[in-house]
Amino acid sequence: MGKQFGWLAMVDGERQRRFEILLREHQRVVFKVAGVYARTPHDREDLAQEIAFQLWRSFASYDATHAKFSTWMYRVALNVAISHVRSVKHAGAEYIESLDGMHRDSLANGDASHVEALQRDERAAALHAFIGGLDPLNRALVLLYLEDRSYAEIAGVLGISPTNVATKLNRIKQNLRAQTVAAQTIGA
Amino acid sequence: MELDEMKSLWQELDARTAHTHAMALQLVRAGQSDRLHRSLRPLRWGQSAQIAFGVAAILWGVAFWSTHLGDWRAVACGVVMQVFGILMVAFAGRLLYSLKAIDYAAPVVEIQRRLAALGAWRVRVETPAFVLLGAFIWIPAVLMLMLDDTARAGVDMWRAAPGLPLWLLMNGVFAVALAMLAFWLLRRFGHVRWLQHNFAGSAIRRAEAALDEIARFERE
Repeated sequence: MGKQFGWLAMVDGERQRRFEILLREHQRVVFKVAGVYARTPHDREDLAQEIAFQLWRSFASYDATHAKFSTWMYRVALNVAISHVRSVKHAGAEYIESLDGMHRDSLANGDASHVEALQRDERAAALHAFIGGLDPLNRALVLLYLEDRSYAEIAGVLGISPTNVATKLNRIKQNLRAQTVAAQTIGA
Repeated sequence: MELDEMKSLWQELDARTAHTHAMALQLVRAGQSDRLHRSLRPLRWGQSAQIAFGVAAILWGVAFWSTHLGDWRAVACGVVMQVFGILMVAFAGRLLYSLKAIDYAAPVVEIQRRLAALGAWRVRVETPAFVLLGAFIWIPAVLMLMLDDTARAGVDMWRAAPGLPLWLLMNGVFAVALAMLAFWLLRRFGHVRWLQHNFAGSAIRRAEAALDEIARFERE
């Protein structure tokens, strides 16, 4: 009996070590998803912890032959984050503070010139505003696209067809173009 | 800015934030479960409290009817209380089990649809059922308390106040009828939106909006 418990503890310890190594390799996924869905920097930390906790809980059933670790991780992280958004009232507009803060810190630490930094800052603000205006599911789609994931992988994470992914992304691109034209027309 | 330009900018910003992520690794180490899972905690506590309350109602109901077997009206009160307790435990247990059974590693749309359906069921079925039950469950509770008190004083409550159960029941029916009349009047004069905005209707709207959003996302 004692031997059996010892063996189980060893397996569990090994699993935890394996999980920590994989999490260390892919931890940026956790922070990016949390940055996109959380409202404030504090909320971002809480959400990142919650995602990590759910990843650990689900890790026992992770099968490397069925999905890449990053694909599996995106599914868990996005499911937790979207549920988090839905459970928090008035989520959406305020979240930009979290993502913007995450990127603003990095810009302040960069070595670019002042003008260059300002221009990048403006473009970053436009990017954050665009992501912040999307509903949770489309936000997941755009995040995966920005992360340079293939259409097949995006489809696998979200549970829709690759054709549907392509159609949605095309529509988003068209809307963005129309918005840019409208903004230029108003500005002129 | 085009979406492809956004992708380049995103990756540029991402490369610059790498150091922030590395510093924050300590936050996500497994085993810190006491600080984790905050968003589900209120729901879990609420459902656990409901189970505890339901178990108490079952025990009270069973203890009551089993000691009043000779009085069919007392037995009926105890049985109603027991059934109410069972319903409370069953509803809360079903929700907790459904939440525990959700595999977060499944595709996003599938899991979000299941979660949204759970939320919608709660606000469409569970909440109205308990509101309706709540309007009546105090009647057997009051009768059970009074039966014990009067028995201790050596008085037969059914003889002393034969109209009491009917009077209490009328109070329950009156309360429900009043609520329904208020709802009908608000609807008649076009104030349902105000009601939905200020009371449980907003939860229903949110649940329905989530389901619609998922359906639209799959369809488009």
